Formats: sequence, structure tokens, C-alpha cells
Amino acid sequence: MTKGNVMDQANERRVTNRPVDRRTMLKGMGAGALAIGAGQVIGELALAKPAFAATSSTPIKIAYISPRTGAFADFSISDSYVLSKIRSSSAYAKGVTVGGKHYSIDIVTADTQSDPNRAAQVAQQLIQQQNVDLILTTSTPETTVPVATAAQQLKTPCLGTVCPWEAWYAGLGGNPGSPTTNFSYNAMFFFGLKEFAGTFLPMWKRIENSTHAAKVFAGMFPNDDDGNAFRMGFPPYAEAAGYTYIDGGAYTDGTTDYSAMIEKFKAGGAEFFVNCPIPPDFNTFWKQAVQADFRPKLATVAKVMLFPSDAVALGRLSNNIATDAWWTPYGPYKSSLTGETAAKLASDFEHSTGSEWVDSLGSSYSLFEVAIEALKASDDPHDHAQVANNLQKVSYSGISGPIDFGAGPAPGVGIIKPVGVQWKPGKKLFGKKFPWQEFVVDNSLNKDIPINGDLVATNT
Amino acid sequence: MTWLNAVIQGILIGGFYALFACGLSLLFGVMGIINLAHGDFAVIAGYVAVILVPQTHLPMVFGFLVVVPIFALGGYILQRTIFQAALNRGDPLTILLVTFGLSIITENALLQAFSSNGQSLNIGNLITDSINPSNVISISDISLVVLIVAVVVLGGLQLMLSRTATGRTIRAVADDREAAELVGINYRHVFGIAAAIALATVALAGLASGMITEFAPTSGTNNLLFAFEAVVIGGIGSLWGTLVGGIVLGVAQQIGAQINPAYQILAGHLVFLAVLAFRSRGLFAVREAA
Amino acid sequence: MTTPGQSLLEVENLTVHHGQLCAVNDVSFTLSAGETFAIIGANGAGKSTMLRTIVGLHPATSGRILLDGTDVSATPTSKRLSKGLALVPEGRRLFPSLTVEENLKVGTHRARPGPFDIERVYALFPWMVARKRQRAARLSGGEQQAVAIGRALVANPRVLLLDELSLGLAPVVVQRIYALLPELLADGVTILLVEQDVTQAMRVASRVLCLLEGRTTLVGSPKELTRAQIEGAYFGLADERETTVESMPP
Repeated sequence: MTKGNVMDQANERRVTNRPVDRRTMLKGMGAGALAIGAGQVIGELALAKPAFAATSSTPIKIAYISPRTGAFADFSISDSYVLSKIRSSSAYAKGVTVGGKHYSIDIVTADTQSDPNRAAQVAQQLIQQQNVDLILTTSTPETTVPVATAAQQLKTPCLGTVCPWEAWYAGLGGNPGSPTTNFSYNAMFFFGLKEFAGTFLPMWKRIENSTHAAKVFAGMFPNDDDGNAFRMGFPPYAEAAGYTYIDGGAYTDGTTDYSAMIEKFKAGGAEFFVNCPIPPDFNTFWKQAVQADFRPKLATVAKVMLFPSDAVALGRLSNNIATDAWWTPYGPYKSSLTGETAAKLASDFEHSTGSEWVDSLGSSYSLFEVAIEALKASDDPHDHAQVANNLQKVSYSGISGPIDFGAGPAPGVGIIKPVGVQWKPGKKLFGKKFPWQEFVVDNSLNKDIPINGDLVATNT
Repeated sequence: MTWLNAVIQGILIGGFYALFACGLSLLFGVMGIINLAHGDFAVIAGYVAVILVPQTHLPMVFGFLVVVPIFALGGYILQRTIFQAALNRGDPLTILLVTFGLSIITENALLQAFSSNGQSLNIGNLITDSINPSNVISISDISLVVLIVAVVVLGGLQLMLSRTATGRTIRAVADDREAAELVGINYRHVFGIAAAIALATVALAGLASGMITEFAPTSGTNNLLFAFEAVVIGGIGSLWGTLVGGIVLGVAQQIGAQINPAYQILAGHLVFLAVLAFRSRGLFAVREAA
Repeated sequence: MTTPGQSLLEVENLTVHHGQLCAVNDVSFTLSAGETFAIIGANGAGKSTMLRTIVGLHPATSGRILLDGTDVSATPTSKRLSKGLALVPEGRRLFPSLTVEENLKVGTHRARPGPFDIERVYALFPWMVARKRQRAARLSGGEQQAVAIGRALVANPRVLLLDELSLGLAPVVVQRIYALLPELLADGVTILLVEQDVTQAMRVASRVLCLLEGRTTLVGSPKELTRAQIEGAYFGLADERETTVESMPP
């Protein structure tokens, strides 16, 4: 079974991974406290810049930190490919001119192993031992927030993505309800609960109109960071639009049986369904829902069903499950580095790896686009404070579309507009056909992306 | 009615927990081995099914015909080689560390070979069909099948242990392996048989899990906890006890969920702790834990 | 069935260590078919270690064990049973969670053909019939001893090894058990027993070997040995008082 995990290129350096820690043993038992505590101590000792004298010919070092292995490895399927594309782009291959001087760019990568403690560790290592100038990180609050936190403490610019902004901001210590604090070394681009509502609710409305479904929705939000954030933030939007909320309860991740919750949803007459679970739990829940005859007219799911492999695992039960897509190959966007279209990026990916395109192609690629924008706007790429400052001011248009970091809901946050998609049996695209494919069925938030599928009720 | 449904669902999921716990109970009851890689072995069974069953053109529901014999053989070999070598050291910590190491190796090997994508075993309509005696009560076909399998396997094994010569031999070795040698029993071979049976049940549990939900290289640890709890609640050395333990755990969780979904898993833990506190040998213990 | 008088079990220069401690030191003796051979000695003299080594539960440092002339020193314990060596271990070691009947049935696992079966054991110990479905752990010490002997007997051993039968049992019970031995001998079982109670051993044995700190200090028939000689061998004293066995207090 070939996946996108192509062998590392010869010039890709990895931070040495120590032999696998048995994180399960130490999980939550103070290892995290140790890491953060150590980080704080080191943060006090470290000053704004590394102590060595950077000469003008010192290459710019950019770190890319992602969950290559572990529970979130799905998000990183496209990593190797994106890195090779980026390295071959002229900006990265030949270097950039900043403040009149020419610099070459080195990219180093690290694997968070989908573990928060590991994420903090690798970020610290990269900053302190490899003196990186900029950190790029992606995929889930669990691993991006520790990296962002470490970068903030050690005063290194950090750009994140694929993490709801409220979770990112709260993880750094801010209050999303009153986002005045500026975490000056951090920036990120993605979207938040308002955009989830802006993507899901229009789809609900359309289904409501076509099927006369009752305005009742069920929410399945676990007792973890994402779940709690969703439970707090999403229902108000729906209730404001006149929907009645049935809360499934703050269940624990890893629950094996959802009968009580499903019964509650049925008894309440829920016709719409929204959730934010971990993938195995959704698989279990959805099967049990069908068994128990809970058939909402439209299921709009978050955090799961993001990748083709999820749909394959769920099989025919995936049909017409709706979710949000933060990047597709269907839009008009082009790379700010090479001018190639989103479609070409996806097509090249599919032909090169044999795997189906995924949303993270765009988000990972755009990290590197934004990096160049921030560097070019600076006088000295090794001046962390300046680069960070420029990072927060970037406004550009690239393969993920236009992003304006200055116009977001919190300092350093750039919003990208997702579209509503549904999983349907695949059609031929770029000369290939896969069992399941995301089709754009609603573009209320982002009219740039054309609709190429019908919004169909998940259950009729 | 909802409470009745809660109990019914608890019994159904309890059957799954019991099937999962069976192998753990056997290995500990007979050899004194606490197998920390138990959950991971179940995950391996899922992957073996994913790879091999399509090649036989059998429907996945019959996948156990392929996977169970492989695991039985594998269990025998594992016991006669690695486990026995660890047991020979005499220090109970050694075997614990060995199974711990096996768990890590398994997870990482699976990650290397299969990536972290979730996989599920496709059983067609069996996954969605259910019996609905009333509006509120719904009994999923596959869960019922798993419960029946659990009862048959655990009951059958219990009968085998109490009524057959092989079962007697296993119990004798479990009681006192040296005395068993004195009556002519090659206890290492008997350990191998017990491990073969245990791993065969692990294969069944892994397949059941792969059908009901999805699995990935790191899924093993989740079900391991429930399996432990079922064994402890039911009592060491009794397979009926393991069945009852699984069901008690499942029902406790469902009743907890009826009160508040946030309490579901917690309710199971509380019952487990209560049994430890008030009846530490479990509900049906046959012998003192070694 | 071996003819009485024929050499059945030979222990040749057996030396056994427990770690650094030498438990059995260059001991040799021959057991003839039909004998009742008793090994006596103080606590820690090496008697039980000797028996355990003969059945293979303990490795010998040097020396050989021959059964019917065949060297069985390297044979695993479980296989020595089918060759005819059955040990009733110290402390009985019944299978506690198994019933009386199941304990006996397990004894037949690798049984050789012969006159002893479970029914015969029930004939020897009639009380067992009513208790046969009771768990072995519930029996009294004496009852367990009987079942342990029965379990060894049903394998139809050629040599029955009895390790400290009297340990933890009331004298009355011990006597009753020892009273069985003649019947076993009549059925062709050769007996090798280890016993701390010298008087008891002397009553039943045809020959006696005394161990002191692992070494043989005395071998002979009870009729020929004086009390003084036995005491001297047992305790390692050099007392030479002449008293015959018959004149010893009971």
C-alpha cells in the first residue's frame, strides 16, 4: 500500500529523533509540565537574538514542524511532496534578496510524532541548537500550540496553520472572546468557529428548504480542547439562526458506545448533525447511528472526514457526509512563488505519489509562500523581531487565495475562507479516479471556488 | 424504556469487552503473564485480515477462518520462544518489560508498514442492520453476533477447562507447574497451548473491533484498559467471570451515560475501583492472583 | 515387572549444589527392586534435594542417575515419569483448585500400565469416594497426603519416591499412611523415602542411608545397625554406646 510518504530527499535534514519515548507512560504525568517549565527557565535566560554574529552570507534557516508520524500523520501525507516542490521553486532553490543582500535558504524538518510534549521539544531544539530564523508548523492544536508557545518564549518567529484560530490563540494564553493580546512572535492562517458556522449553516438552510427538515441540530463534542471550544462557540451561531440545540454531552475520547447519545438525538428529533470528534470515535458513532436508525438529513462534521482515507475507512456510509475544505484544486488560485495553479499542484501530487489530493497540500504550501513575503519585507532575515513583525503584517495572494494577517479577528491571525464539501463516489479528475472525492456543494463563504457537486441530504 | 435500552446496549458492548479480555485472562490465569501488548496484537489481527482475507475471496465476516489459525500458531510459537525465555528468568518484571517492548515494536512496525490511516473491516450490510423491537431499543446485528461469539467462546473455553483432560492439564499447570512436571506434564508445551488459545481469541476480538469501529497502529492501548477492567472485575482464573466482568463494565458505562454522557467511561472506572476495594479477588475468582 | 533383588535405581557419585552451597556431596547408592529404602538425616542434610535431583527438578553438578541401567540424568522431569519415577513431593503439592478426583485423573496423564488405577486408590482410601468432588485445597494435611500418594500411584511407577511424608501431620495419621506401604510393595512398587522421623523410617525400611551435610555417613539394614551408630551418623557424633535396636525405647 503505497502512501505519500516518499523517502526523504538527500538534502533534507532531519532533527535527530531520540529513540522513541514511551509517551503513553508519561503522558499527562508531568512530562508536559517539565517541558514547559524548562522552556520558561530557558526563555528567561535567552535574549532576543542568538549570541553568534550572523554574517550576511549566513543562510536563512526555516524549520517545518509537522506530525509526520502518530495519530495525526494523515495531515502530513502531502509533506514530502510539498517540500520537494518548494525546494525546487526559484525562491528557495536560488535564495532571496533581503535588504539588498542575497541569502540562500535551508529548510530543516522535524516530526512532532503527534505528541504535544515532543512538539515542544523539537521546537526548542531547533531554535536553540540550530538557530532557525523562522518556524512553520501545521496540523491540529495539539501539536501546533506547543510549537507556537516555545517560539514565543524563545522569541523566534513562528507561522502556523490548520488549527482553529480560537484554539491557537487560547493555547498561547489569549482570550478569544476578547482578543487584545498580541503574541508578537506568532502568526497563523486558518479560520474559526464563525467560519465553521458560515460554512455549515448555509448548507443546513438549503437542506431545510428542500426537505422541510425540522430546525433541530445534534452536537457531538468530546471533552477535549477542540470539543470544548466547539461546544462553547458553535451552538450560539446556530441558535441565533433559529435552530434548537441537542447537546450529546461531554463524552470522553475513546468511548466505545454512543447509544445514550444517539437516543437523545432521536428523542429530540435532530435533523442536523455537527461534531468535532477524533476519527476513530466518529467511525464508531456513525456506524452505531445507522444501526440505531438515527439518520440526520445533513451531517456536517468537523475535524474528521478531512482526508480520503477517512472516507475509505467508513466505506459507503461516507456518502454525502459534509465537511469543510480549506483548500481544493478547483479554485482559481495560483502560487505566489511559481505561478502554478492549485489544480496543477494537485495533479502533480496525484501523478507523482499515486495518492489522491488532500487539503493540506495548499495549507503546507502557503506556509512557505507567506515565509517569503515576510522575509522580503524585512531588512535582515536574522532579525527575529522584525521578521515576526512583518509576518503579522503580510497581505498577499497565493495558492490558498488571498490572506490578510492584519485583518483577522486577533493579532497575527489571517482568515482563509473554507467551502462546504460533501464526500461522494469519485469521478475522473486529472486523469485519475479514486473511490471517494470531495465535491464543493456550497461556496457561501468563498465565491471564488466554483460549485461542482449537488448538495444532497446525507440521509433521505 | 431508555434505561432498558441502556442495559441492553451495555450487555452488547460487554460481550465485546469480554471477548477482548478473554485472551488477557487466560495468559494471566495460566502463566501469570500480564500482556501489555494485548491490544496491539488485536490490531495486528485487523491488519492481517485487511491483507489476507481479500486474497481468499471470502467475505470479511468469515475472515476469522483465515486469521484465527494464524494467530493460534503464532501464539504457540511466541510462548515457547520469547515468553518462556522471559519467564525462565524468574523475575516477574522481565515478562512485563518484554510485553511492553513488544507493544512498542508492534505499534512502530505497523506505523511503518501501514501509515497511521484508520482502517475498518468492511462487512457490508451487517454493519448497518439491526433488530428494533421498539422505537427506543435497537440491537445492532454485528454487536449481537459479537456477544454470541463471546458467550460461545468463553463458555466453550470454560467447559473445555472444567470437563476435558486438556483443560484439566491446563488448570493443573496453572496451579503448580512443578507438580505438573512430576505427573508427567510438559508444562512448557501446555503453556504454548494456552497461549495459542489466548491469541486465537485475541484475533477474534481484533476482527470484531475492526468491524465495529476503525483501527490504526496506535489503537491498541484504548481497548486494553477495558479488557483489564473486565478481567479484574470478573476475577482471575474464571472465564465465566471474565464474561460477567465485561458485561458489568459495559452496563456500568451505559448507566453512567444515561445519567450524563460525560460519566460514561468514568462510571466503568468507578465500578472497577469498587470491585478492587471491596472484593479484590473479583466476583468469581478461582484462585488467588499469583 | 522387575524381579525382586534386581538393581533398579543407581545413584552414582551424585553431587548437587544450591548456588554455592554443596547440598549433596558425592553420594552413591543402589536401590533394588522390592526394597524400601529410607534416607534419613537432620534438617538441611540434603535429603529432599537428593530426591528432587533424582526426578530431575534440580540439576546435578556431577554424577549420574541410572534407571534400569539407562542414564536418565539428562531426561526432563516430565519424561522420567513415563520411565517409572514418581515423586510425592514435600508438602504434598496437590493442585489446589482441582478436585480430589481431578488430581488423581491428572496423575494418569502419562500413566504406565499396571495394577494401580483410580478405583484402586479409592479402595486403599475408602473415605476419598465421598470427597472426590471436593477441592483439594479443602482437605486436611493427612487427607492431602493420601491423595498425593494416590496421584503418584496411578501412574504405576516402578520407583515411588516419598519426600517427608510425616511433615506437618499428626503421628496417628502418619502411622496410618505408613501402614499402607506393605500393600504397595506387594504390588511391585519399590519405595525410596526420605524421612526426618528416624523411628518411623527404621520401622518400615529394609535399608537406611544417613546423610549429614550432604555426605553419606551410614548405610545398612536397620536390623544390623545400633542406635548409637545411627545417632552418631545423624548428628555426627563419635559415640560408641552399644545398644541394639530392639532395646531402644519405642
